[in-house]
Amino acid sequence: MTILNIPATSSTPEVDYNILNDVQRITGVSTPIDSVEFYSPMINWINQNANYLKENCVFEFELNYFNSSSMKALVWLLQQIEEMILNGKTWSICWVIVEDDEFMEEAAEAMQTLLEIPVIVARRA
Amino acid sequence: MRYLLFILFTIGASSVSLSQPTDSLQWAERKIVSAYELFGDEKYNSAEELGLKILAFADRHYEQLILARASALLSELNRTQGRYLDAIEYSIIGIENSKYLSPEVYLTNSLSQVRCLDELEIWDRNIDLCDDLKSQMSASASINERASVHYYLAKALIGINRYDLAYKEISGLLSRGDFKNLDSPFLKDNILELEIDYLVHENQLDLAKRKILDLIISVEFYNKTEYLAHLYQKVAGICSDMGSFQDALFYYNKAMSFAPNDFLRKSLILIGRSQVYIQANSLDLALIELEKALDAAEVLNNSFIKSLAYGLMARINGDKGFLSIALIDAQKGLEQAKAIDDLPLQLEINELIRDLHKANQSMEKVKESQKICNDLKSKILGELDKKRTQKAELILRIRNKELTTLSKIQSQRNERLLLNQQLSKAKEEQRYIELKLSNELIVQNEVNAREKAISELRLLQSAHESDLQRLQIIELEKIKVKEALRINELSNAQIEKEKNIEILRQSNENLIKADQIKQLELDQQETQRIYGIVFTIVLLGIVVILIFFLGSLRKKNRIIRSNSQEISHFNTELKEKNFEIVSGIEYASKFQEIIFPNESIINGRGLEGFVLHRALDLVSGDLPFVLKMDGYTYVAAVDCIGHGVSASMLSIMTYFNLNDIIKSGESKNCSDILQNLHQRLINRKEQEDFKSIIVSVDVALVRIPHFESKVQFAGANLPLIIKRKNGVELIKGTPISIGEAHGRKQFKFNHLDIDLSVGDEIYLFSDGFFHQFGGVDLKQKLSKKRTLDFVQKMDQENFKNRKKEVTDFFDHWRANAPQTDDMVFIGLKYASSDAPIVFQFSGRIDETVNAKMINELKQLIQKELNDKKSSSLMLMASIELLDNALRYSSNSSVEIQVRDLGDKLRLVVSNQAMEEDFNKLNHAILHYAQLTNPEMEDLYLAKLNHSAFNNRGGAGLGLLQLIRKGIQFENISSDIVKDKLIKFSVTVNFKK
Repeated sequence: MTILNIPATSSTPEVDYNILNDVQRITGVSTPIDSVEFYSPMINWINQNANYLKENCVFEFELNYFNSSSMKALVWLLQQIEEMILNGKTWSICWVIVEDDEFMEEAAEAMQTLLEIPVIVARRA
Repeated sequence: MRYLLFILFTIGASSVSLSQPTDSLQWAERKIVSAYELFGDEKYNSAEELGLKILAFADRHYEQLILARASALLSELNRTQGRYLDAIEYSIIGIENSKYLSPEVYLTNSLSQVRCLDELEIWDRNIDLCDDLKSQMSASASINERASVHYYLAKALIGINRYDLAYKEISGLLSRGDFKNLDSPFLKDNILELEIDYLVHENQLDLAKRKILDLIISVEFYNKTEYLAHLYQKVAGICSDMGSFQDALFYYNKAMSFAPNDFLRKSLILIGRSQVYIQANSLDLALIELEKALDAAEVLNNSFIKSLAYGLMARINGDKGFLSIALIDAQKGLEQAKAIDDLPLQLEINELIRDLHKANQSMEKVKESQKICNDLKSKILGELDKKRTQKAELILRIRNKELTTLSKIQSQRNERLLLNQQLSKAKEEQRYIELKLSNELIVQNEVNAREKAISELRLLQSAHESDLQRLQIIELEKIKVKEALRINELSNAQIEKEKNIEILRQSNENLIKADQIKQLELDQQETQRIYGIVFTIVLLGIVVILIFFLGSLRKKNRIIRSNSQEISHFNTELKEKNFEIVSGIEYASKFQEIIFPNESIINGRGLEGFVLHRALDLVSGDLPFVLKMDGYTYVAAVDCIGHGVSASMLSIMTYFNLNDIIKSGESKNCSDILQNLHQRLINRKEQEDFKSIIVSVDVALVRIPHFESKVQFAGANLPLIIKRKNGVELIKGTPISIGEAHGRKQFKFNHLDIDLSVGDEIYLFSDGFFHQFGGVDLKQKLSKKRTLDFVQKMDQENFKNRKKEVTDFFDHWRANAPQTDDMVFIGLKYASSDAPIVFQFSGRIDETVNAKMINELKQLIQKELNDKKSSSLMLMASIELLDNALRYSSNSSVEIQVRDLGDKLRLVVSNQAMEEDFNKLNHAILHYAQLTNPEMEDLYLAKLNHSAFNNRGGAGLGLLQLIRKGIQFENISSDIVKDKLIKFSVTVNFKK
């Protein structure tokens, strides 16, 4: 399974994971009831394809809004990526904030506090 | 016993490969080895006893492999003693328990069963079993194992007359390179013999003869005499079939030489020899051999041999033509055959008798014999049937045994599984308890840490407070110095003013004395009146000073009298000053008008109202106060002590202080606001220089939340009247004024929360209203009672006309009497409870509906809220409150409502939930409220990082997230729907 493509729904973001991509994207809103269920496939995918991903692969998160349960699942996902980066992968994590959204800024800060590796914060108009 | 070696070898091999760590297992291992030793020594009973012990041990401890090995031992033991069914039963136990554990033990058990089946001649089943074994056999299986399986398979195939298939098995085995390594002579010989049997069956007698002679050569090496005799006998038979009688006789003699004491074999050999002679037509020699055979059979008392011998003798005599002798022999043979109940033999002899009778041409006897033959034939068939049935029954019994054993094993396995489950469950419980304990420990630690933090915080706070006090003192001293400076300036200006007035007075006095101009006198009188007003307003003391100066002015009259031109000049100046002062005060009254709120401010957010305000002089000490702030409308009637300029100054001071207090938001209740106002006014007054000034303010203050049917009232020496559909009520305030010296007695302003209904009216007023003189003789006070009566009589419906009604009432009461004091009268009506709804949803909710609601709310927020922070707060609150409703709603239905309160949006989310969940929510809110900001941050990060997702799929973060972002729950209301079920709604306001 080299491609993980989940189209966006009203409560979940679009997932565009492909080992041929330079950037692995999650884009949209995230308010699922069961965020563990939703984010588990991404963790599995990363675990399975860790060795096939491009060297300077970027994991990009561009979320308009999300519930706190998703926030927790995202921390979980990021920590999995972090562990691989700490074990030698040369990937990076990019947190995209659309407009000057205070809560996304704060979420980025919280991520940065919880992770040992740097989180790139990109701002898009 | 010949193949015991082989079994021992197999078991030995398997026991080496097994090693269990525990002592008891080692015990069992040793016991199995010693049991086999006993078996080897043919001590079957002791071996069996030990085997059963091991079996019981293994069963108890569910040591499957030990169980299987003990079963193999017991199976072999039983088989050796001919108890094949028992042996099969044990082998089934062994097979089932070793199936997936040890191929060696499995094979041992299987082979044991194969041998039993072989003995019982249950060929079909044996073919199946051997086929299975063959297919399961690994490539590394030894030739011994392989050979056994192939041998028994071939034997079973011959049993069902499939020589061709059997030969395939054997030839496959024989063509293997490692067949020569087969170290079981018994097996090797048997296999080779099978091949020979096949060749005989296929009539390849030459080849068979050669093979058997090869075999004899190899067997001679072992010097197994009995077996050699058998082989020679066999080769003799083959030679006889081939027609080489000399060879046949030779091999029979060889056989005989290897069985010197075996009479059975000897007699069989003799019979064989006689058959060779018969074939060679040497009938006499044949008879001699048969006589010898009969002798040998006599020793053994073997009826079968005897019968066989007699039968052959009868045949020879019959051939010779000695029919009667032949018949006698035949009868003897028949008797012997009957003795051993051998039907085929009986049939054979009877057929001979029939043929003899036929030769004798005694037809009746022939018929008789024929009848006997027929009977025998049917008997034989019946016997065969019986045997077949018996075999079928046997197979059935074996299968039943197998089934019961299997089910027993299965149930054991189930029990085991159940036991394991219980064990793991118990382990889990233990782990849970441990976890709980450690959690409690963590919580305890947290509590301790928190207590520590709180005490540190208290220390810091007290330090901070003392710093603050010091700062305040410095600040106050600064203010004092500034004030002193300003007072200096003021007093300088005053002195100058006094001087001017003095000069004016002088000239005025001179003018009176001179009696020069009457017109001037008139003017002066008017001026005096205006001054009276002005000076009583500004400073009463000035008049006293003026009077004091009058005396000294007289002395100077003479000087002034001399200059009338100068006097007229001053008079003009006086006129100008007078005008200036009056117009200044008029101007000040305009300022008051600007500062004091317009009555129209009251209207809106569910309220209507009017203000009636009348100053006694140009400026007023009474003031109406209206402010809409943070979701509340504040309205007050304020009465400052005295009237005129001084009171107006105080009213301005009071107005701005009140405004400031409410806008700062530092006072939670109306009583706090009054208390705060008191403190502010008192603070200045208590300074040394103002001790003599009286500051006293009466207030009736109400606070009405926007669009909500309730009001809070606090009064300082002023009451409130509420007019409802069913009557009026006067509510007294705290009977003390603000700013009054209250002595040492501690006092507190009280407030009162009152529920309203739509249409209720509220009246606030100063004492200028109810102290107004009037009535019939103009000497009565209006009084609170009359006010109350008046309010009661007012027309409930017509509030629009209320202001005129009140004005008319007041003026009618006063009639010609002058106004007693400044007066303010405020009327309010709670007109509407409904703020416009800008968003509404009610119904079942799922993930999709939830997402849709959030999206719609987001659009609303973008449209309605300008404040960025407030927007993101409301979006987050909407997401989390809906998420919570979705997770905890008992019937998955939810009500969402957003109302426009003018300066803010009100979000109300309601749903049904279990009482337990609702209590948890409340508990969590209380708990989080006690946390300091850093504690809250730590908890938030910890929850994100470490804690698990809860059983509802949430992370337990929503509420914490709301509270740490500073959301204030306006209201959390709950109604019990039914037992344990609660409908509750959460209200939050967001600034526009």
